[in-house]
Amino acid sequence: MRRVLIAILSAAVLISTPEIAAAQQKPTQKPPAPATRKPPPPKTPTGVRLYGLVDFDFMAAKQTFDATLGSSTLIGYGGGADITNVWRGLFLRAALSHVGKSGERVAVAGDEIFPLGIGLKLSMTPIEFGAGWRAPVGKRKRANVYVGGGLLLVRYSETGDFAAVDDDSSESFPGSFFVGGVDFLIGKHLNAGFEAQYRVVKNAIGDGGVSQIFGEDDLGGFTIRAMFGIRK
Amino acid sequence: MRHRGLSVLFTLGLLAAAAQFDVRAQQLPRLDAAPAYRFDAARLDAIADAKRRGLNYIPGEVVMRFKPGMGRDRQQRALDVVRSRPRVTDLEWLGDTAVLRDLSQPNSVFLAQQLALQPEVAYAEPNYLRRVPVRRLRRTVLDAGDPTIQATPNDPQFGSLQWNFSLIDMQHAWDINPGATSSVLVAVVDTGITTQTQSINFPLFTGSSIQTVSLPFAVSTDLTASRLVLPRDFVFTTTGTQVQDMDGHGTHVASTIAEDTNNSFRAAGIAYNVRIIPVKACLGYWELMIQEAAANRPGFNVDPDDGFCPSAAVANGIRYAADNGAKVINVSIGGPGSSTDERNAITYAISRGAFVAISAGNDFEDGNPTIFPASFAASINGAMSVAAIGKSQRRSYYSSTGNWVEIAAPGGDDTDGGGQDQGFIWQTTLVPSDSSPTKFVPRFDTYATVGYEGTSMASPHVAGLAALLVSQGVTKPEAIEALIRATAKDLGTAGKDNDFGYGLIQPRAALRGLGIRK
Repeated sequence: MRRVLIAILSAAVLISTPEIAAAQQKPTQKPPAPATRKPPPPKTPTGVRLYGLVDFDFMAAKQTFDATLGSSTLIGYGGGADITNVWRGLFLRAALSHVGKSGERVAVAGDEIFPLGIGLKLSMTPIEFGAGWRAPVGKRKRANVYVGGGLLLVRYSETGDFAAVDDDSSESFPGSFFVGGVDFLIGKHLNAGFEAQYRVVKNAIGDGGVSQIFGEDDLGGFTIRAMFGIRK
Repeated sequence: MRHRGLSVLFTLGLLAAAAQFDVRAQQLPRLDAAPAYRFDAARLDAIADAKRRGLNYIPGEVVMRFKPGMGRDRQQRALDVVRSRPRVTDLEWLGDTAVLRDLSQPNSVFLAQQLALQPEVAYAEPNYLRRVPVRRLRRTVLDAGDPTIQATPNDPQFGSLQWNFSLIDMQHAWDINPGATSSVLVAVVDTGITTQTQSINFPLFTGSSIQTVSLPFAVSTDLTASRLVLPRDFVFTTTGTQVQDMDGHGTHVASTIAEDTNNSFRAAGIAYNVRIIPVKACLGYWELMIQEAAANRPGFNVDPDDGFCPSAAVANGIRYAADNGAKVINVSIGGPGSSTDERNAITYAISRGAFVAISAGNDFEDGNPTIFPASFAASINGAMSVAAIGKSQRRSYYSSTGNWVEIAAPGGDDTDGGGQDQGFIWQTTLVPSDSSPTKFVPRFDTYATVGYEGTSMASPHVAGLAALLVSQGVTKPEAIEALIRATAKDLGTAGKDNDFGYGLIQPRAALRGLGIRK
């Protein structure tokens, strides 16, 4: 009986020895420093960017525009406005550009085009409503890169000489676009930038004319844009 | 002395009289040397045999072409398979095509099969009999210059009679292209178009005997002679350098294409500035009567509707036109029997830059057989077969149907619509009563505005439109076809159908071409 009690007591001592040691050491630790919170980053204010633009449109309906206008690369002029940093880098955009070009009505046989000397005038105005994200880059953070996308509404007009009723075309077509670009601050408020867009405007053409022969129905394509304006 | 003097005086008198006679002889119209006719007695008999037996070819005649590089010996070797052993020198050569006549073997189909099996022969086929698909109005002939009509153009019968041009809005088409230019040559392969005003002596059975009669010819009063160039006859005379129309069909067809317009006279044509190449490939009643008389066969041996156009002549006419610069060729001729020669001629013409318009046939009510060469057009870009419509834009009752019909144009339909025009297609051509088979001695120098109907009349509408497009810079036949097809007004079942093809030609839209969307 005595031996059992001695064993039990010995085990208890062994178990409690580290705690006893620790308890004895506690009075020697310094008390932990009180927790500190990092200060929140300074908030970037919402801004606005106004700009004029020049578009170089590389039309998806290449054969159609080459045949009728002599080139599938069209140049447009316009302007737009971005509201920047709406929320954590989000920006909103509204912009438009206008393309006007003259060409000729044609006959087509295979790959051969026969101009007929009948004048043709094209007018296109893509209107953009979009959004995306911007992020500053560089040491001094005077440049921003951005990506985004949105909706397009293309106002399309095609007129020709010797037109009768219903020969000319005037209609609006919905589409979408994706954009990526860079802009940089010049001075305090001036702003310049370049961006690339990919536009899709399906089922706009292709129901008649040369576009039907070539099976091209997309008024979109690839656009390179140069912009210059002010940023606040 | 006295007798000698009298003798001298008498001799001088005789000489003077002879000289006077010579002068008078020189003043007499010079008699033309009788031309050699292509259809001799044997050939005429073969034609009559074909008619009796209902054959669509000339018995004993085969059109053939040897393979390239076959010299005379090899050609003779091929001909030796024929029982009658014809010689190469017996062949009638038309360029690279030869016509073999073997009257001992009237079955041309068998003869052609024999020859086609020879290794030296590219192809051999019967010399098919084509017809001009026209139904004529022989009764009514209007006088020229109806003063009550004001129309655009200023040709007085344009507004009152030429409903066909208003139907396809030619007025606005002419706004874009006023009649093409004289640099465009259009060939009309047909019964011919008279190119010279003259009288020609021909043998003719006049009711009691065969006589030499002087038949007057005149150029159409509404088709300027200087616009008729490079005429060629492949079927009537062996010389072939003069062309006369003894039927009126060829002139009517040519007038739809190119009748003088804006001259305040009679009617209008579509491409009224082009020049016409008259190609005679068809024989009518009078040509056959003349050839019967030349073969010393008196009697009325020819029926009024016995005219025909040998497929060899049609094919050679097409080739001739292409070789001489024609950019448009109209063939208002057709019949059953597929001719490789005709098909090759059409593809050859297209390769030379000529668009070919072909009448689709008038046989809808006669079993609606497949018509050639029209049925080739559907598989050849640059050639189009043309169906006929009437005033209501319905298919004309006679117009053949089939998957070879590609396009439609006004051809006339007297069952569709009334009015002064009675639904016919009106153009200036020979006065029917003066060239009618009811005459003993016809004349071919009187013209008036005459109404015809047929796919023969529809096809030249397409040819005229093609001529306008050529003058506007569409120089490739395939492009002309593509544009005519793309701008046609769809009729009947949506899309291409057997009645109207791709639809009714729209010259204004075709001349305006294609834009981006429209």
